[in-house]
Amino acid sequence: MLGCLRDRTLLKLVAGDGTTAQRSHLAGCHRCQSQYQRLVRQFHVIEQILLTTDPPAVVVRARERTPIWWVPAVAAFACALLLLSWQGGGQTPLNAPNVASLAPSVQEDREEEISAFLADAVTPALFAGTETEQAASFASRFLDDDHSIVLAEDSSLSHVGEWPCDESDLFASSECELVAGSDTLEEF
Amino acid sequence: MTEEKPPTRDDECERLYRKESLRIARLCRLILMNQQDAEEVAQEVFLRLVREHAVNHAIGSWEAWLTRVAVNACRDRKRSAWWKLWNRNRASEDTEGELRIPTQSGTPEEHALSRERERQLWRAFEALPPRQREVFVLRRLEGLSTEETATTLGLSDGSIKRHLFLAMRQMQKALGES
Repeated sequence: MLGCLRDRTLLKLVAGDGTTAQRSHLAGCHRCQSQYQRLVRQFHVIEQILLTTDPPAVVVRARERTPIWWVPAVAAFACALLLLSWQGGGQTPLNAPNVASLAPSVQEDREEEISAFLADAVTPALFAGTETEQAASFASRFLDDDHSIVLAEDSSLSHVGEWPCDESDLFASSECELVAGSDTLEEF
Repeated sequence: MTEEKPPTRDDECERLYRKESLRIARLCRLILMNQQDAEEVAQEVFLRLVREHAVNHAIGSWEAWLTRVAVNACRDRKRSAWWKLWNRNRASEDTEGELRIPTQSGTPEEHALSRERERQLWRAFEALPPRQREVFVLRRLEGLSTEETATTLGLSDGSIKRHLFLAMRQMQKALGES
């Protein structure tokens, strides 16, 4: 073998590895032998330190110092989420309090509110007052008394918000049949 | 003339304990890097020895069995999540720069340099990958042969040599940098 062994090769030999050629070179080369002995002594010192001293606390701390930064962040996020769901949940229709379970005075107030809302906003939008009246008067000219009563009832019901049926419900109930059963009304 | 009784299983366990307890505790300390945990694990290992010794008669070398069980017990301990958490908390309670009674003669500067060198070395040792550290401990510190180490860790001879070389190079670098 030409030249001396590299440090890496010498370290392999100290570790018990290496080829026969490398070992035979080491046996005959004083320079490599002295380097080899230096490495052996160095590792002897290392081993003695590891065997005779205790691991200092700072060693453990150096590796385990990483703080658990995500724990407070996750906790805060979970709290915020809980708070939001709780506040938002109170406003959903599903979570609204049942009318029947309310106190009588509150229930009356609520019914009045609903009636007022239907009378003021819903009924004029769906059934304009003039059209209803015109329809009633127009019908009264052609229909007998029973039919006019039904139309009058329907128009009055529309104010309360209890319209019995719409076009899609024709023939669905007895109330609808009263209106839709008439040939005259179909023409109308 | 009194007739000597053959050693019972308890006697054999006691003999093994007297002979191997320090070695096993040291082995556990080097793998776990923690004295208290090492003592606990070593106790567990000897409890297993008592149980196993009563039922298993096929084991040839109880010393090798102890080494193998100790390494596995240390691995189990290190894997457990609570150990990591507990170790972290305990590390924060330790006092940094703990004073030590100097055991060697020399000037304070020499002691400080020596302490710094030790710390550097331990840091490098602790930074080794677990497998490399196990191989280094068994081969260089416990004096096991390559074949014995391979049997204990369940690796091939070539793998043991490679791990040992890498570990030694890492330690050499650490010592050179200090």
